[in-house]
Amino acid sequence: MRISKWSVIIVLSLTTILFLLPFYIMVVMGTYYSEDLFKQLPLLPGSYFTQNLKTVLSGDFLLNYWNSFYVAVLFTAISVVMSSITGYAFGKFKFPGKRVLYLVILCTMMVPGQLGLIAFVMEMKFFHLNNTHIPLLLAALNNAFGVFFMTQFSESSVPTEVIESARIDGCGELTIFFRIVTPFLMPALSTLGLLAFLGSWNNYLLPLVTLNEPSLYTLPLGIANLSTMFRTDYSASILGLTLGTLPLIIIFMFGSKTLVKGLTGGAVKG
Amino acid sequence: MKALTKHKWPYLFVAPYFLSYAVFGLFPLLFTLYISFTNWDLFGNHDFVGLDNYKQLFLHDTYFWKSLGNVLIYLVAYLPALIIVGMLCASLIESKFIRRKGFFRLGIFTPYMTTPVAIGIIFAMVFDWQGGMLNNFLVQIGLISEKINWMGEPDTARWIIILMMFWKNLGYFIMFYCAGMASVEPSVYEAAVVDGASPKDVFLHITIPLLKPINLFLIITSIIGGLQLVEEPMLMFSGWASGSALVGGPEGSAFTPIWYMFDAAFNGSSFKYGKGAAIAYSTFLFIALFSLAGIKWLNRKES
Repeated sequence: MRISKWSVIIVLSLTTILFLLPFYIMVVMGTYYSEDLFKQLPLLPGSYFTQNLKTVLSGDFLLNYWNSFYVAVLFTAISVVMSSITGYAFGKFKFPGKRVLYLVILCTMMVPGQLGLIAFVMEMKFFHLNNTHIPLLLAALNNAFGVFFMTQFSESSVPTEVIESARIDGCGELTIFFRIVTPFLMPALSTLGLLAFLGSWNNYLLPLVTLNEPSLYTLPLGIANLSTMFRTDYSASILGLTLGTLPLIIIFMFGSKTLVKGLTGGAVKG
Repeated sequence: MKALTKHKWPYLFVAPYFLSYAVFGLFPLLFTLYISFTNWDLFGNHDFVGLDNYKQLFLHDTYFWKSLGNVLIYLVAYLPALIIVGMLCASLIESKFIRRKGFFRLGIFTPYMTTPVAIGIIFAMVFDWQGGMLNNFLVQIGLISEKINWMGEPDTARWIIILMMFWKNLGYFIMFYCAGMASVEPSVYEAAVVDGASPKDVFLHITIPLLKPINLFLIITSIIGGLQLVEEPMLMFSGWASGSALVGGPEGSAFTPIWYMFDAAFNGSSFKYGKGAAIAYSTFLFIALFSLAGIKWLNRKES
């Protein structure tokens, strides 16, 4: 059986186009006048882009964008720091109870995120944290997958001799972690960071049940709400969708190589 | 005591994780379990009713079984497709013919990055009855004369969701397979080729066995994630397209357990937290069951 170069390229290109098609449709639909949208097939970009943009920006859209952005950045930062500190301790220290504690973390990885949702929302109400962005950040504190991932990575990629010689030189443990260990963890940190950012940016259910004020909404909520704000203006709402996905594409365009490298070095080494 | 001070640092490093988990993870988890044994609602009821909620769900609630059946049908349909197509695509991308691997990876990964909200809405617009792209297209090329109500029939609605999940997740699978294949020593493949193995042999006897740990990871996480499906079908049937504002889709064919939990606990006028909590825990029961079955099955095949 011979496989030629061109047949491989053609098959892959067709698959990729097929996967980008709904995406392309979304982008193009955002440039049409809403009533024209359903008359013919919108295959080429229309001329209504600026008008639609004005409609989208007239609401809370920019504010929602900002909310999503700063929540995602904070979420990523907290998640990465907490996961790497915890993972480093499991990967590079010996201490009584380590196995049991690590097993606990692995078990929590199996517990679905929605399981405690009802009581979590009640708890947030009790602390008067509903209608703030704090509930959206709390999950970053214990990212079980992150800890698992960083444990694997620090075990295999941080040389023990370097840590020990730093210790002999009189370095404090915190200095060792932030100055010496962190650079070794960089590939895994960026992979984890990408996944954390993606998770926070696309989070829908939790903001839906903890936020009531449109000015506090994050992007997915804002977008879902565009449909009620502009009942009939589909194209404006769809432009909102496109704009909401844009930052992720840009980030992953630069990060996809890192992502594959990080996955290779980390949890799922084959 | 001496041992404790010697081990001070690792404990300090892991303490924030466990403390925050106790307060914001474990406590809500246990409290939700407690709520599931009560008739807790917005009107101040919170009597202990024992297993009543569960009895109601398991014995009398066809909606619950329907939602659970739905997510299982979806999973059974799209998971094997994802594994097979994903491995094939990844081995093509990682083959020596392809130079711009990043382009193909990113192209197929794009749907995975898209907000579930957007995915639900895009598919609602493509498959819409009156104005949807697909119907318009099929009419224009003359394949059909009467528009088809894709989202109005239980069978086609289910297929759309399966297609949607396949479209969304293929890039994620390919990303992991690519990572796995990239970590295999090229000499393994070269040796096989020297020994006269065809590409088919290499794929069947080298690539697939080497990807076993990745498959295990992907299958288990897909079962856990697949049974929790909620946003995409919810937004697809939220009334974005014309005439599709049905709760749960036609005859409940798009209803999922977590959607049901959400409806019971946070939506409408009932706010039945007890019922919602029981749905959450029942779903978890099935997630654990199917994950364990998955692990058992995969391990037995190995031996």
